[in-house]
Formats: sequence, C-alpha cells, structure tokens
Amino acid sequence: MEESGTDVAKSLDHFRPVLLTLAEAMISSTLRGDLEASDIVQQTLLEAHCNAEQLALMSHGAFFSWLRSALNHNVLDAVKHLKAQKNDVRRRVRASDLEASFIRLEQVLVADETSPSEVMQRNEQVCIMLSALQTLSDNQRKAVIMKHLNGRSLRDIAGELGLSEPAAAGVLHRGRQQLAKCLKEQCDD
Amino acid sequence: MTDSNALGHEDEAPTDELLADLERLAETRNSSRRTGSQDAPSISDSAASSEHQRLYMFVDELASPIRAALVADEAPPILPEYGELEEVGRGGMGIVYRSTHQKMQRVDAIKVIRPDRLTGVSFDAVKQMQNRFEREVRLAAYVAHEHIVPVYQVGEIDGCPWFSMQFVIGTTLNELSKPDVSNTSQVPSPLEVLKSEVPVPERMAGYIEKIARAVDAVHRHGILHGDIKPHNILIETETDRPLLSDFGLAEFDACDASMTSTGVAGTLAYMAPELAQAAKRNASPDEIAANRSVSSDVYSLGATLWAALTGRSPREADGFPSTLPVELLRICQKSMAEDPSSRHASAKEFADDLATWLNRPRWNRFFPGLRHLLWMVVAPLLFANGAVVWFLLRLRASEPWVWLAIFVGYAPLFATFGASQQFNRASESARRGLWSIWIGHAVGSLACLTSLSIMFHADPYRAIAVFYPCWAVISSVALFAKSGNFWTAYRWIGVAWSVIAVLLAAIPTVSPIAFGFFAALTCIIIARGDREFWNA
Repeated sequence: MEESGTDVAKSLDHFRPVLLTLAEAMISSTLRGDLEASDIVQQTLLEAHCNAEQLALMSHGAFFSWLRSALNHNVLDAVKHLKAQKNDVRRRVRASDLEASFIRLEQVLVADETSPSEVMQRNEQVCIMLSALQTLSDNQRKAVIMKHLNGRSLRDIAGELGLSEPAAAGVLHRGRQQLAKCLKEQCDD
Repeated sequence: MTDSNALGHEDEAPTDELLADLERLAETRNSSRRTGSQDAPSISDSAASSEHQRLYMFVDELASPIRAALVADEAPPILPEYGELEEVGRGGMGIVYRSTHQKMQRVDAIKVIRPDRLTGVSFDAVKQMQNRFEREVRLAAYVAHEHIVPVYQVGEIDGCPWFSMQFVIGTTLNELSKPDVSNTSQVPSPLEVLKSEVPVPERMAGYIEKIARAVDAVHRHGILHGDIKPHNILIETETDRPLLSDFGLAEFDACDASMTSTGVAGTLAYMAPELAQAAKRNASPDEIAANRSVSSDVYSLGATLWAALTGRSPREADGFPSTLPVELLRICQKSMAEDPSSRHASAKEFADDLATWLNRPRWNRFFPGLRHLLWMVVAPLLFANGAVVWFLLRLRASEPWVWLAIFVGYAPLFATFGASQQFNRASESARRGLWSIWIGHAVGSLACLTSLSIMFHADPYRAIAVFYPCWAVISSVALFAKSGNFWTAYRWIGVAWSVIAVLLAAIPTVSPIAFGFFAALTCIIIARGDREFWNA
C-alpha cells in the first residue's frame, strides 16, 4: 500500500509540470488574472492523492488520462464559479469551447495510431515537451505557450507581456533555445 | 525527438529588432502556408535567420498537435452587446456574423477582421490601421446616404477590429453579376420578373450610378472609401437598392492583398494602378493611404462597373464583350485610365456619364441609328445650301437673300441638335455647352459678316467672299471647343477646318460650294463616328 502510494506520488511529480503547462495553455488571457493555473493543478493533484489506491492500479496512459480529465473538470468548475462570481460579460467564456478543446486534446493524445506503443511514444513526447516548458523562465514560458500552443502573434505576445515587440521576440527566441537545450538533455539522459 | 541541428548557437547573438523581423516573417510564411499562397516573403539566408527558422519550425512542429486541440479557430468572438453570433459569410479579410443587439433587439451584421490576416504585421502598424479604420468608419457614419450601409458601432475584440452595421437581406453585386447566378430551377418572384425585364447593362449601370453618387457624397465630406468592388456592394432584395459597405477597411484589405495571393482577385483587381503597386511592394499603411485619392476611388468604380457588366474583373477579362454598349466601354476606359488626371474628375462626373447613357432618349435607346440618319440627311442639305449661295452670288441676287441663304444652313444643324438632345438633369450641362457653342458660332458668324459688310460696303460680294474663310476659322474654333466635352475626334476635324479656311481664301469664287462640300463631309464623318458611339 505504501509502495503504491510512493509510485503514485512519483508519477504525480512527473506529471505536475505537464499539467501546469496544459492548464496555463487552457486558461484564456482574459481569465489569467483571476484563475491561477498552479491552484487548479494543485487541486487536481490533491484529488489524485485521494484516489491513490485506484490510480496505483492504472497503466501509465490511463493514469495520465485520468489526470487530464480531472484537470479539465477543475478548469471548467473554476470558470463557471468565476462566471457566477463576476457577471462581467468581457470575461464570458463558453464552457462548450473549453469542453471542445478538451475533446480535441483527447483525440490528439489517444489518436488513431495503429499500435498502442505509438500512442505511448507520442504521449511521452508531448509530456516531455510540456514538462520541459516548466523549466523556462516565467516570461519565456508564457511567450512560448502563447506562440506555439495558443497560436498567438508576436504582437499579441508583446501586448500580454507588456514588452516591446523586439523585446518579446528576444524572449521568445531565447525561450525556444532553452527549450531545445532542455529537450536534448532529457533525451540524452 | 530532439534535433541537434535545432539547438541554438550561443556565440551568435542576433539583435532583438532582427529577431522581431524574423518572427514576423515566420508568421507570414506560416499564414501563407495555411492559405496555400505561394507569395510568402522569403527568409534571408543569414546564419541568424537560418538558426531562427530551424528553432521556430522545431518547436512549432512539436507543439502543433496540442495547439490544434487548444485553438478553436472557428469559434466566433463574444461581444458584450450582442447575443450568440451566427456566421453568415466569410471573405478574404473578414468574417460576417448575424446577431441580435441585446438592448435594441435589432438584428445587425457584425464584421470581424480575421486575426490570421494581421499576422506578420507589426503592432504599431496594426494600431495605426485600427485607429484610421475607426476614424473613417465614424466619419462615414455621419454621412447618412440612402445608398450607404449605416454603421452602428465600432470596436476591438482580442486585438481584432470589428464593426456592426445594418443587416441587409440581399446579395452582393459580385454574386449578381456572375453569369451562372440565374437560378432557372426556381420559380421567379414577381419582383424578379420585373427586374428581369430591365436589360442587364441598364440594371448594372443603374446600380453603379447610384453607388457613384453615394461615393461622391462621402468624397464631399473628405472621406475616401478606398476599397470599392462588387463584393462591397449589397443589393437589397426587397427594394432592389444598391448599398455600399465596408468603409475604412481598405487598409486591412490592401495589407491582406499584399501579403497573400488570396486577396488578388478580390482587391487588387479593382485597385487603381498607383495603389496596387504600393500594395504589391508591401508599402506601409501610411504610404498606401497617401496614394489613395478621389481618382483612385473613381478607378475602382469603373472597374466595378466593368465587372458588373461582364461578370469578371478587368484583369481577368479577355476584353469587353462586343454585345455590350460601346458607350459603357468608353465610360469604363475613361474612369480606368492609367493616368489619374485622365480619369473622371469626380465620382459625380462618372455618375453623370452613366446617367447620360441611362437617360438617353427612348428613341435613341431603341433606334440607335437615328442620330446617324439625321446627320446623313443634314450633309446633302448643307452642300445644297452652299450651292444655292454660290448660285445666288452668280445671279447677283440682292444682299439680304444671300444672307438669308447663308444662315438658313444653320436650320438643319440646329434641328438635328434639337432632335438628339437628352433632356435630363445629368446631360443638362452638356446640352447647354452644345447649344452655347453653336449659337456662339451663329452669332459670331453674323457679327463677322456684318463687320465685313461694313468694311467692304462698296462691294458686298467681296465681303461674302472674305466671309467664307472667316466662317471656316469660326467653325474650327467651335469644333475645338466641342472636343473638350464631346468626341475627341472633333479636335482633328477642327484642325482640318483651319486648313479649309486657307483653301477657301485661295478659291474665293467657289468658296460657298467648297464650304458646303466640306460641311457635308464633316457631317458624314460625325455620322460615322456617331454610329460607332451609339452602336450597341
């Protein structure tokens, strides 16, 4: 029992940066001031601890899937709670949009590859990248997430970070360099 | 998973300004790749740019599956004042939604500039464009015109400009002018039947004439549209009323057209050459705005008329179909002259030209050869008149009879003008000009003959012999004056009459017959030109 708990804790440590990046990418910029990705991830990990016995029996893929599902529910709950709290129309976020994003994410991660090993390999790649993003500095991480996960333009990124466009481009470029370096190190390990 | 080539080289330190340029170029390249364009700007071959490109592609490819999941690119924006937005149309530059204004309970059309159309454009440039867009739309909103779609609200959502306007139930002129638009499978409504009775050239020219008057109204307020094209002209189904929309969007469209080839058919084809060149070389919004003028809008009106008549933009078309009225071709050609100073001076002048053609007398519409016929009748009459004067001079008839015979020649001429006049508002100035010239001609001739009679009071026949070369000079001047507002060939006929004046001075004895002959010849030339002019 204790052993399984230790395994779950290790897995949760492994997935923590992955979930954090996913949550940061899912929370739209208009909500960023009101919702903290780390709080939502913390709550998700807490729920996972409470269900440690159940999770200990799961495979690596199913474990990650459970965490994604829990994260999605927590993000949705937080958005709904925020909507109820602040009836500000500028912050209206369609729950259906978030749900659609989550469904698409599941389709990507549990895609139609022929072999389960390919699905695993792909998910592992995604996890490594999402995890590596957490090693970047705050601004670099935000810039790379906005650019490559949210598909935002340099103009938007500069506006969000409160920087000039050249400064934002510098942050973005150095973030990518750092990410590539980190990924190489992880693969070498 | 990793690519060692993708790793950055620490010793290279490109400046942030260079990185920003490379970033924007990469955005443009990606945007072009998504739209299938081949016109993406190339990245320079420097080591810094290669490094940037490798890193960009490396991270972008890794992130693309998750981005595909997270970015809901089809989701309509959320506007505070409006309910759910329903997409009704999508152009090269904007998406049009229909939604109900919550407070007014009014169904509006909302146009949002597509965010992907602004990729690769710097923040400052977009901000400038947005500011100018808001200013122009607000100014246009002041000009309440029955042929301009009223704009209700302007705003910005997630960095994308949007505006709401009247929701027009109808179709665009672009769709209407397509040859395959006639849906033969459906039973036409009574209004459709009524509309179908109006010939296509008249109907299209009528739409463009009304739009040109609306454009003139905004020009008089110092506002330029900058993006007149069939796609921006809506035809209201219920009233068959043309409405011009999309004020202030020209810059976004020009930017789109310059960045991707998708915009070429929609925008550059209707853009004046001076603007198209600026758009093609990726000129700044300020430079494009500086090139915009009344005459560039006139060019776009002409190109729109061409497209409405032929179903194709002037750049796509092989030529003007011979089945369409030549007069409309001339109007198009004048408004689309390469040199802005050769175009119509204003949208009103363009509209007046169209109205002149539209309001041509019914007999002229159904019997275009009538004017030609009248000129052909006048020709022998003038020759006969010259012969009668020559005969009276030979008979040594009394001076008043000779004078009367000379001035009777004006009768068939004025009768022809009277019969072929177009009594309408648009042609009023042209009509007045024509009568002024020819009444001036008659009065000048009378004054000349009177002066010569006084000078040669001892020999009145000598006065008449000198009068004919002078009369030819007066005719030359009158024809020159006509060439300004009418047929340009009058200029050459005027030159010919100057030569004729010298010739008549050399042959004083037969000058009346010679004058009559050349007058008849001129009528035949005008008749031939006229037939070509009206030949539909």
